[in-house]
Amino acid sequence: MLIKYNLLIKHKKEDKLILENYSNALGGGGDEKEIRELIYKDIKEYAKNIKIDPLGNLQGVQNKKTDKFILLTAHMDEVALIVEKIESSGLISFKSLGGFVEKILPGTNVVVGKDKIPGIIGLKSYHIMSQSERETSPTIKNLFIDIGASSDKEVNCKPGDIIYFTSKFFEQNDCYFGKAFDDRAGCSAITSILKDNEAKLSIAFSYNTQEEVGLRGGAVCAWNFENIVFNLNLEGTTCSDRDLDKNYSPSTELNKGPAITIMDRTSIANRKLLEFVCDIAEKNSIPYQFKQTVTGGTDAGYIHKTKEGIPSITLSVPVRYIHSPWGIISKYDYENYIKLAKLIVNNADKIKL
Amino acid sequence: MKFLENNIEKICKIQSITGFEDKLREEIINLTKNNIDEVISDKLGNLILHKKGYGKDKLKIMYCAHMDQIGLIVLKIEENGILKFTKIGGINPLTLYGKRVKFINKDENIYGIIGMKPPHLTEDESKVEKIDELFIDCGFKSYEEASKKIKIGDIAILDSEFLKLKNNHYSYIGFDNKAGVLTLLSLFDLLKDRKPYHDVFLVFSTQEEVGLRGAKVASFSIMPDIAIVCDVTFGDPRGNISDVKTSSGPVISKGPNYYPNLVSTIEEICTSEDIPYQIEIEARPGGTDAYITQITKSGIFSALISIPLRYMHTQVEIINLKDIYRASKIMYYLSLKEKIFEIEKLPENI
Repeated sequence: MLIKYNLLIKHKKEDKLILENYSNALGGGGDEKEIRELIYKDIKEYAKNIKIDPLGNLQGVQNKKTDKFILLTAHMDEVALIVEKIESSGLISFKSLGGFVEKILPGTNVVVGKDKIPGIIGLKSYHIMSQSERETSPTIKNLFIDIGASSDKEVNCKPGDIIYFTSKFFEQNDCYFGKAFDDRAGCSAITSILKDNEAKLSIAFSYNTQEEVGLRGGAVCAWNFENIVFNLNLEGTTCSDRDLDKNYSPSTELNKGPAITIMDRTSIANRKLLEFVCDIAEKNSIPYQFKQTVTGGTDAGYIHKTKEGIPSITLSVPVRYIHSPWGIISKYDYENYIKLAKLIVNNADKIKL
Repeated sequence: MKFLENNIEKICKIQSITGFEDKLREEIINLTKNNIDEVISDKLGNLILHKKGYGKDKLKIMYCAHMDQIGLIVLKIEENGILKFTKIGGINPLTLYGKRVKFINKDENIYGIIGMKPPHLTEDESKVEKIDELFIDCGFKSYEEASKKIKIGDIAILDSEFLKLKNNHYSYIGFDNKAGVLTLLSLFDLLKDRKPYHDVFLVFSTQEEVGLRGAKVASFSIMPDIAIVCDVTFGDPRGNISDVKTSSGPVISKGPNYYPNLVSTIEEICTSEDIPYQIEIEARPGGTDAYITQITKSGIFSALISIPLRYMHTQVEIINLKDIYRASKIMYYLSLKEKIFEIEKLPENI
């Protein structure tokens, strides 16, 4: 028993380290090279036929004794910004790569382009703002990035370069703090599963690109595979449980376990699959919750409509302050998320769809 | 410049929120104590360093920079473990939403996130949340858990990275007024191995951000002939109210707050020593310690030398280190100059 317990502790530590590395790595829609190569390094000895498809999705298989597959998916891209124009003053105007509440941006540390030039998102000094400027939240249109240049000649980046937040992962009060848990949590879950599982069904996987700009990678990811029994889509999802305004659903709550999506803007979970997942969670005493909003969409929106149709379900870790430089997830939710995902994979051969 | 380059990060990373300036005061004493004639710390926490001059007709010149910076303070711990807070000084409320804060004066690192709603759940994007609608989330699950680590009255800063940017620009929180503090320290360094003509008093004042409080008592106790205040001014690259820019030199203010003959001398020094500078007009006194030095006791000849700064009162303020060095050069030459200005006299044959 002791040996097994130690193994569990070791796995938890490993799972955390994978998440930490993935959260700190950079990769926005269309610019997933850094995170993709990091993932590839982690999984290359555990999978076969690893390749990059035309959208940049990182795909492969782990063969078992059957030619039937469970498809694991998560997206690699995080919300980021893109350089629109270098102004003659040396300031950089930008657009968003994914959905933002734009008022979180002013006062943020960023890095720009391949050289990771440090900069900040500036906002006019409050003292010299007009009354109307003070009363309306700033939008991307009137924000800019400042790298300390005095003119455009000193700015060595180009329109189209990607801009990232620089938040570094840390643990505090049984929570993990960092950027990009949407969806590096899902990516690290797939990696953890590939490294250690007892699945009977073969595993196909796709780490997808460009989810945040409209589920682009997800639209094609399932086409390259045959004989998929079902898709487990691993995500990070909204969690607004600390808001004092009680008039709306918090979507999910921290420390109540991984969240299962019944329905969102892009898909409705397969009923049998839903029952199967809940049943596994209950039999193994893993806490879980249902996502209580129908906003947002995931790659499952395309995957379930691929070819002749693929039953799909989305399992998410709740992320407070998602789509911002600083998200918070619960350490326990994350552990239970990995545990439940592994149990689904290990029992995937038993499902009757 | 070497001295500044070696010390900027260390000085900036000592947080000195208004009323909690102690650690910065200690560090300044450590840096300077072996090369100064007198160190005075007064009842409001001001630090005064005195360097004696050799001159026969020497004056008392006070150089004054405030040590304090703006911050956040915990007001209440809620049942679910989140923290309600307010600001100390005029933090830009538009830079709070979704930001990380770091608690100060704690034995361990404690961080929190100022909560925000994600786009999926936001109805009115243009709404500016009032500070009492915001909260800090450290991941505490309950009041009990939170109150073990956080007390009401605990202070925090908006957390950001200390960055060296292009062209001698630096970005961090609190350059208002670490820029002034660094200017005075650079002046100290320039004067380290030589005696000034005049008596030089370096005043690191407290509680400027909440009403120019420290400078009032410091100038009272020194009662200098001349007060040169060093603070920051707006150098925003977009939407600024003047043409002032960072990296174009320190800013000399003109207006009724500042004694014209003193201002002229400062301009002359810049010209003769080839120090680039910029001019700012202030039609009405206010805003810096110079407001109070001018009207202390029977009045003190005052001037203001400012360091241009981008994005004042945010966690990503930007200054140019060269501007700071140049400002300290002006002060250095002023301290050596035998005859600073003629005091205006009434005509004899009227």
